[in-house]
Amino acid sequence: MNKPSLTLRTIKKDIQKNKWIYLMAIPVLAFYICFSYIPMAGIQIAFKDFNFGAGIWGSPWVGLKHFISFFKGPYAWRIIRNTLLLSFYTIVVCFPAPILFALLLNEAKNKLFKRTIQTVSYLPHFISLVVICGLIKEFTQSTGLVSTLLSLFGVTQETMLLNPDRFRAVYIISDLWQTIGWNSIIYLAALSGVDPTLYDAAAVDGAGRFRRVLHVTLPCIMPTIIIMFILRIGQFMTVGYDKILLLYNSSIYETADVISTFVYRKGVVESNFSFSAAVGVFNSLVNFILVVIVNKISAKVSETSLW
Amino acid sequence: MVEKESNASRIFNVVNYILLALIGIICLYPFLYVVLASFSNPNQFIKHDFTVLWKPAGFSLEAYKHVFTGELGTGYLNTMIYVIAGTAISMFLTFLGAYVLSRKGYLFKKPLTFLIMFTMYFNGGLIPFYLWINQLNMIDTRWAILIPMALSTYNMIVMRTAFASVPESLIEAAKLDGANDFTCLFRIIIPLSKATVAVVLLFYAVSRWNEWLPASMFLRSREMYPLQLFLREILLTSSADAIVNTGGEATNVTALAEIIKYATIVVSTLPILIIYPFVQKYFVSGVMIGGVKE
Amino acid sequence: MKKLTAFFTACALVVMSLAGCGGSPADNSSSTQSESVSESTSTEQTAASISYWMDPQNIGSSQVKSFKDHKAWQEYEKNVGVSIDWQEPASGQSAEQFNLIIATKDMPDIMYAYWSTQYPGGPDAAIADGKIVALNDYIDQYAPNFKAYLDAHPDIRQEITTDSGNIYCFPGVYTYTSANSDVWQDTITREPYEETFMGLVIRKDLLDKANLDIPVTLDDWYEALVAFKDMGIKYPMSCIAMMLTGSNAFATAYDITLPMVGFNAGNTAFALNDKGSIIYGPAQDGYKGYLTFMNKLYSEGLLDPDFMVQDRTNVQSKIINGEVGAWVEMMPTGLGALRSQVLAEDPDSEFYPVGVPNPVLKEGQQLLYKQGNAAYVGAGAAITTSCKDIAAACKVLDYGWSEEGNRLLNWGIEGVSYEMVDGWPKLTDKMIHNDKGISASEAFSEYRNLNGPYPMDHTQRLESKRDYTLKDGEIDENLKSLDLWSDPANGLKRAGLPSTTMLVEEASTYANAYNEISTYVSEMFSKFIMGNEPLDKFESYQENLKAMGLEDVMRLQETALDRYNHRVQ
Repeated sequence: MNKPSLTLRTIKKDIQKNKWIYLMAIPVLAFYICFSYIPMAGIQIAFKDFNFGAGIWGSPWVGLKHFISFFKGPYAWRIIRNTLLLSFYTIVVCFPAPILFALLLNEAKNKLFKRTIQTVSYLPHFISLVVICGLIKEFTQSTGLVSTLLSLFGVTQETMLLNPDRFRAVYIISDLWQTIGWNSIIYLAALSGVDPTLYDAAAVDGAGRFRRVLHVTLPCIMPTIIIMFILRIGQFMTVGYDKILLLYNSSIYETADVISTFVYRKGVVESNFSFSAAVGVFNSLVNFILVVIVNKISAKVSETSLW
Repeated sequence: MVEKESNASRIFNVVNYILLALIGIICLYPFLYVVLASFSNPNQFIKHDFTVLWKPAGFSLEAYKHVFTGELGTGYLNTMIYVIAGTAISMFLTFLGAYVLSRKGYLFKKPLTFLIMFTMYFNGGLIPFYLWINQLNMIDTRWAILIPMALSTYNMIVMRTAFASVPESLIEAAKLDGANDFTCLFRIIIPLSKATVAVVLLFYAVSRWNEWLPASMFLRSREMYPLQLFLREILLTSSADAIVNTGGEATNVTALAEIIKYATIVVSTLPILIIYPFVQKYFVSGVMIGGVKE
Repeated sequence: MKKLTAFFTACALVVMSLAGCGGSPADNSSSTQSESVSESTSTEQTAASISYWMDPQNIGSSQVKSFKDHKAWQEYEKNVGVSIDWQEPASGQSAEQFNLIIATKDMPDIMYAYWSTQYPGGPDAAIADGKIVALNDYIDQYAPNFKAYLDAHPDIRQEITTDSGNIYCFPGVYTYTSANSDVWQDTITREPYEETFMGLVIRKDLLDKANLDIPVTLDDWYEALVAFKDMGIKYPMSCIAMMLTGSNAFATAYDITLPMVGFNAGNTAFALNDKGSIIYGPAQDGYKGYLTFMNKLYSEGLLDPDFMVQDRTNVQSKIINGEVGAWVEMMPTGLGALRSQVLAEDPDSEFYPVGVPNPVLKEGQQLLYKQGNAAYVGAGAAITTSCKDIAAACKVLDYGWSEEGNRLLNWGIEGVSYEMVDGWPKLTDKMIHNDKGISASEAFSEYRNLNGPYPMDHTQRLESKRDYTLKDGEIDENLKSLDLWSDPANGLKRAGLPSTTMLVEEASTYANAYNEISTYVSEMFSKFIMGNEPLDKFESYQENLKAMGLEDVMRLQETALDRYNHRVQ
């Protein structure tokens, strides 16, 4: 009899003490309930045979049917492998690059130069993907700019997007090009928060430039880097179809066909919402598990974590 | 005071400038290409064939004439509404959420944080979402663009990280002076996190500016279309679907149509580019203070 | 405890206020009629109003982007006496929006869509699910013109009748004045027509230079392309994969049809053979012959090596630069426009492309298949169960089947956009020499509609494709090519199947197998042609297709065809 009242009292006390915090949480919570949690009931269609007549709640349960049909297909392994590899390489290349870029920018002293480069570097972010991919295709054709330049270094001059071995490189390097500037913004903001007196102290200690970056700058922006990294890992399975659809062709399916493009093509033949939902749930699950793991490791090692 | 630069440091400077300039040029090119193409003579542009554009292929303002007679005015106006009102709503909610998540020592912090993070990974999918928005009577209203996607958890986390780095002692002191959390947030925390606030503002505003998907799902009246949706229509006129569905008729793939695409991109991108430097000053100037001082 | 309840009440209040905010219309400035519309249907005094959902891409105009602003539709609305509340998805996004809208219970009254392919399980399922209305009885009652048309054209009735006998839409039908008629025919007389709008094009000037005739057989083509190559033409044959396969160029010689690469939905890989059963082109033995020929072109540098990656602008650029000898073209962009672009740069150029029929294997061979749009393309206007006034909806749709309404949509306003000359409709001088300085077809497009749920007049398409800049005596190569490609000599049957539908329970089995097969086929298509896979592997390729469930796919298609053939006539 005593215990619940005690908890209740603790809650009551807590709420009384932090009433402003809870008050401020209300609109945010309301938003998430309204626009995330209520629609989330729709996840069930992954385990149902959704049809428009019966609706979400009325459609019949089919258990794991759609998951099984996804994993049983002859291409399942290939598209999962391609998704994982593409995502892995993209993280390896495109995650550290903006940090490096921000650090280099931070080291440049000329104000005008710095501002100009920074402004210019995020331009690709504003150009529609259709146009960006059009440019990529032109550059990588046998007579295109990139192919020609590479041939100077002894690479066979060929239409790169016809060679399955080249697709990942084209995809990742162009991704780097699209995102390096835009993604560096967040690190630049973090750099601006570094306390200048720390630099002075380091200088007094006789630390050179490189060591100052290593021992002052990097530790200061580390929390930002770690949070960004955890967030990025949470999108591991999310390789969007739009860019690949614009770039690939059937002769490079071997490396270019990923889960999302395969599901997209299937959707054109038959819009099976339960199947796409099942694939979505699979991706979310993998993402979520990865985040939980990485977050746990990070909390242990660096004391920075998402929750 | 001025520290003497070592040779190594000087060499590094030179290499650094060259490297950054190179990155700048590579990143500038696609936009430059679009601008040059938009001023090109259509016939000559279509002939240029894989060579790099350094100047417009011929010169013509033909494309811009077409762009400005279109529905772009409506698009601009709508996008303005969505960017300004949408960013305001988003920022307000993000401030509150980020503040709540950044504070320590209240009982429901963990479940609350988890509840919010969870939504980044699981969602109900498009159809259930649409059905719900439909039930809220928001379909074909501007609210459908402004409200349902107002909060980005990602941005909220970015902001939380900045808020959390504000020293707890400042807040404690303010609270002793009788300030509540709400005033703390707006009087102390936000002014101290200007750089991140600027970044998040930029993120919201730009994603609002570039956004077309909610509009294409929820709107059925062209009077409410944002700029990007009109742009998308122009860009997609030569897609396979358009060709096949209209028996080849919709594809006015003349040289001019190609140029119009580029002009539309220029017209739809410029305004946000012009706004950028005003936001930029908040975090680049910060860098200046933080960097090596003269 | 009180505070806790207060907390949750507050939460609920916020949710409700958020929910409520949708209730008030977006803003007051843009006066959307839609609000008044749904209310007013019941009231007697105000005229009926119908909401009508259709992709504005169907206008087919670079000048007018909304039905609200289109002259023909404005006049149409006035004449019908029912106000139309247009619901327009963004062009290119209509398929996505269709899926969303159809999931709700608040559908627009009329929806123009590809019901037989877009709705899972087809139109019968849509009726069974309570989404759209079976029109059989309403047509007799409220749509006299449409009824008369169906009575006169039982083949169209068969296309829009589901396997269980429901008529589900007012279809969009291509029609054409029959070849042996001297005068233009009216709406009900015109026959359904399958237009071929893609085909091969070759440069006549280069052929003349090489002293060659228009190539007829595959061997002639090979010879011509080699001759081009020897002349220094960089890409003797260029194209994009989608149009190469879509046009079935070179494939029909082997009595097969091809899937359109890069466009999954169109099932042009299937066709009815002369015995009335279904073939799947890429599984036929003849496909090997086609691949062998294409591989020969590719490996000898006669086929543009970038055909799998480039887009149409790339090809056009090469053509204008004089680097291409032959290509696949699609009307109406066509030949005249290309020629005038070349001449604009170099007035002395002899550049003269002509459209030619698909080649044959041996001279005298009658080609079986050709590229073509089905007369009934699969898109039709259905009346949804949300519609409260079916009579008014029928009235709106039926007007397009009357002579007056049909002319309005196809030709615009008489005396303004068209006039009758010797019994044929022709564009007025006002359209041809318009004061906006745009092409005749662009000016005309403000007055005529392109696609919609009514008989669409092919003559109108030809007239608007006509090259009005030609001087007397010059041949309009665009129109001539269309004639050549559509001629039975270029193929007797259209590639593709009639509008059969799968049952709901069959649909996902089919989609699973078919998506895998089509992934494999398109992958192997490029591998075989580019020589990454030797052609002696063809037999094992056929085996793999079987292993992926080709037989199931064929069986499902056959039973669907069977049901189609047994539809009530």
